[in-house]
Amino acid sequence: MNLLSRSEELILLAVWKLQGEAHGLAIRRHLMTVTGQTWSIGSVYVPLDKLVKLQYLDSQSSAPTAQRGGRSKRLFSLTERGLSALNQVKLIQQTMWEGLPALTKQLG
Amino acid sequence: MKEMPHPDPDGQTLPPSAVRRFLEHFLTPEERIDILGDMEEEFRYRVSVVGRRRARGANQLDVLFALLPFMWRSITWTSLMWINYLTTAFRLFWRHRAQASINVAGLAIGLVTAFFILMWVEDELAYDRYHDDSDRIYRVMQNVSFGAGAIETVEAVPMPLDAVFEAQFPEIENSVLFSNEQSWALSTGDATFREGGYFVDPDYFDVFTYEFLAGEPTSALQSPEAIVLTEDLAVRHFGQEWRRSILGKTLSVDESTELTVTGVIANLPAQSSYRFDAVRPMYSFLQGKDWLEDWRNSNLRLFLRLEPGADAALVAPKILDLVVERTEDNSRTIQLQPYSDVYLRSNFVDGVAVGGRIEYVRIFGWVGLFVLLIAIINFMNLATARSTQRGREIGVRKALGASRLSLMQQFLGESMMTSLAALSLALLLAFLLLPSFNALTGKVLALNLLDPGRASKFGAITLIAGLMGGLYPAFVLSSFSATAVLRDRVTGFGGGARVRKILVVSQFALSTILILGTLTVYNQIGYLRETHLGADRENLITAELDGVLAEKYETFKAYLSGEPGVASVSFGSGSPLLQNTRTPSLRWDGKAEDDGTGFRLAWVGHDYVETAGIKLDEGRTHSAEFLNDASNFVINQQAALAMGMEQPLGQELSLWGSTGVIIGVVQDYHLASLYSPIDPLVLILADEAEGQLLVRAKAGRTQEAIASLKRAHASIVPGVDMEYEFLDEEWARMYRSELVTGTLANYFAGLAIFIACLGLFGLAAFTAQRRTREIGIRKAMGASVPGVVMLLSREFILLVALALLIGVPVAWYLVDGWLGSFEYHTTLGFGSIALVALAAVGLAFLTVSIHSVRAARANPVDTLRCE
Repeated sequence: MNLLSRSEELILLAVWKLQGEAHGLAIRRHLMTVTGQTWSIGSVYVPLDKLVKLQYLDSQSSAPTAQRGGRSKRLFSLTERGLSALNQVKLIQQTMWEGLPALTKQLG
Repeated sequence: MKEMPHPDPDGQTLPPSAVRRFLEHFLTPEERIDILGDMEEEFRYRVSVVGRRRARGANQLDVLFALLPFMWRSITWTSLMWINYLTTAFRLFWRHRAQASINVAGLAIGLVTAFFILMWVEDELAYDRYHDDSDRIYRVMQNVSFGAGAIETVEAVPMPLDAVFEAQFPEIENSVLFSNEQSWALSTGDATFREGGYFVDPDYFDVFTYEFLAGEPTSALQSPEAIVLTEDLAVRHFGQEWRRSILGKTLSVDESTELTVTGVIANLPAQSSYRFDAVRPMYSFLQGKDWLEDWRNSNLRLFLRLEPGADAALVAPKILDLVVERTEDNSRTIQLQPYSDVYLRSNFVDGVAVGGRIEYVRIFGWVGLFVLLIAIINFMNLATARSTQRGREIGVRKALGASRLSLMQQFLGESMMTSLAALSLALLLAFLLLPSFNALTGKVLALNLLDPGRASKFGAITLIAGLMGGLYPAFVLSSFSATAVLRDRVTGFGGGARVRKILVVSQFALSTILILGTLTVYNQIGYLRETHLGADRENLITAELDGVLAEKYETFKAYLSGEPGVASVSFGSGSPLLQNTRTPSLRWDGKAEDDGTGFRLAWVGHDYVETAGIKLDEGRTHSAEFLNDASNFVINQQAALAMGMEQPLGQELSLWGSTGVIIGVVQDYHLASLYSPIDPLVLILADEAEGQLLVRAKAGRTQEAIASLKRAHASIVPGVDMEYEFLDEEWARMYRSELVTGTLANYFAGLAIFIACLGLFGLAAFTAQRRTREIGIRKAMGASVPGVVMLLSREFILLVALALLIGVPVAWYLVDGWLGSFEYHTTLGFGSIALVALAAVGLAFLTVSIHSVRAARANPVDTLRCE
């Protein structure tokens, strides 16, 4: 079983959330908003590249826009494998969390 | 030209950035579009929020932070690729291990040669540069004309010059006088040793800095009876424990004067022109030599240290003006020679420095370069030959998407690996051979691989070799299209054949030049050695004749004359190899007024000519039976020529008021450097025994002669060990560098031809292998073994012949120029050219035929069956 790394998981989730609008910049912005941290371009694109190679993600090029200096953008979407990988992670996490006491240190 | 529309009317386009362009190298093509698009979009957004300037800064930061992850990713992939290259390379190496070993060995030999020569050259160039201000020290040279246009450059000046310097020349920081070489019998009372040294000015150690182990450089030479020793000498006289209390200890010199040790310096670095065991202050040397005060006598060496920035070329004429003014003699000129040139550039012709040892340094530089080139060509050849068999591999790689660049990387990488393997072998060889090399050259070289300069030079040589070896496959083979290579199923592209031929030709042309060149150097040195040699150097023992021994010379000679091992005994002022005294004052009938020919003078004892083994041309030598021989002269053939005498015997000569007749003429022999013309010589009978003792031992009985010599010495000068030398040893010492050069040159030429043949061997193997089937068919059709051998060898023989056609004229041209610089020289004869040509073709044929004979003898059934 190949578990996703945390950043891969977050990126997949971001793609799912953005649905048809998931291109690199949008994913990065979403991640930065949610986590409140800076995500460098490399830290988004290198995992994206890997996830495409692992066939968790598909990518399609859109028509070029003037906004992007005449460049097209690559839109990412989840594949079956990607969805099941996410589900698997979610299931594991839920199982791990289940029945744990509250996450506060009992003082005294 | 049409005006281009402004690309950025609203200032919103992302400005170019070098870092971003760098980042693009690590991106896939898709990513490149995507990420640049993202950046552009983000930039516009940021411009609208924070303004153009800050948006640009933010983008630069983005790019910077993006770099690391992408670079890391690309390194991971690249290393995977390199692992594949490495595997391929090792498999190839293993499959062709014989050829590959030849390749590595050839290159390693080339590298070792280059390394050794580099170390040797560096050592030569480092001579005399170890003093603190070496670059500001100059030797004052005087050009003296000896009539008939002959100018000699001597390192001697009038002594009073030194005294006026400080007052008159602000450019001169300091100047020191330096005597000619002295030989002192130093004694502690227990033991006496003869040591070489110089008398120097008290501030000698201010100009020439040495490492002091005891004493102070400034005060060491201040008292007249001071002596400064080298460490070796200190150990010799005072033992290993000398450090404890050496200062103030006394040594007696020549059994008379007591000297006080005032300092000990570390042993001189090997790279020193003037070598000594000890130095003493000038005072005692000057005592009683009032004639030194005369400006017209030039007897001392003088070294200057100029002020920083002073121009030696401007100082020399000023010194000259002064000398001319004082001597009222304007026939001489003065020049300042940089101290660091003394070792390498001390041959003067007509008063101009024309080189010297630097010639040998240059020759060796070229030899090293040639050998390395030959080795690299070998390497290129074999790599090229091999790579033509790799068509299919290249095709498959290309079909799988390898770019031309990555193929180039692969081939260059492979040849780099080979050259690294050669480097390790070369370093191992260097380590093993260095002691022999040192013994041969008389140097103390160390590999010193930790020295950054040394390491980077070795590294650079290896790198260049590796790059050149991979050049052809990298650029030519990577350009073939995958379909062509795979579809045509050709094993070799015919390509490379022409390149290989050119390379073989240039390799053998280089070898030819090298061999002819070194052969000439060797012949020339042999020629100098064997012609005009004068004294028969074999079995001739020499020793200093001074002190008590000189006083009791007649007793000594009488003692020795009865001994069975001794043939004859005599003495002369100076060694038979070197007669330094010269005068233009000789007079004879019919001498022209302006004839200033310099005659070398030697004061000799009876039997001198016989003992030294000089050949008598006519007449007789000085004899005790003729009482007035004391004023008679023996001259050499040059002298007869210079005086224009066809019948010299019986002619009158006068020198310094004493007149005599010529009683004999000896054949010409070298009186000084082998490189300068032989001067006229006059032998005069000495009235007092002094100078150098000569003892001729009977052939094969030298040990007896030496034993007798020691016994005789002990009976006359008890307690002092007899120090002697064989004249052939002295000669070998004088011309050591020439002898070494000759030997080295031969070794290197041998190496060069060996490497070239190694390459030919590899190539022949390759050709024979490629044509196996062709030969099989030929034999099946009835070809004979000799016919096939000729078929395979012919091509190589033709190439080598072509190389000879190119190499011989070039070599002849170079060698002729070099030989022209010698006064007495050999010629590059037709014989040696023919010999070299024959040897080259013969060797090439032999090398190639090892393979061609095997290929030709193979049974066609075996070679053809696999089809």
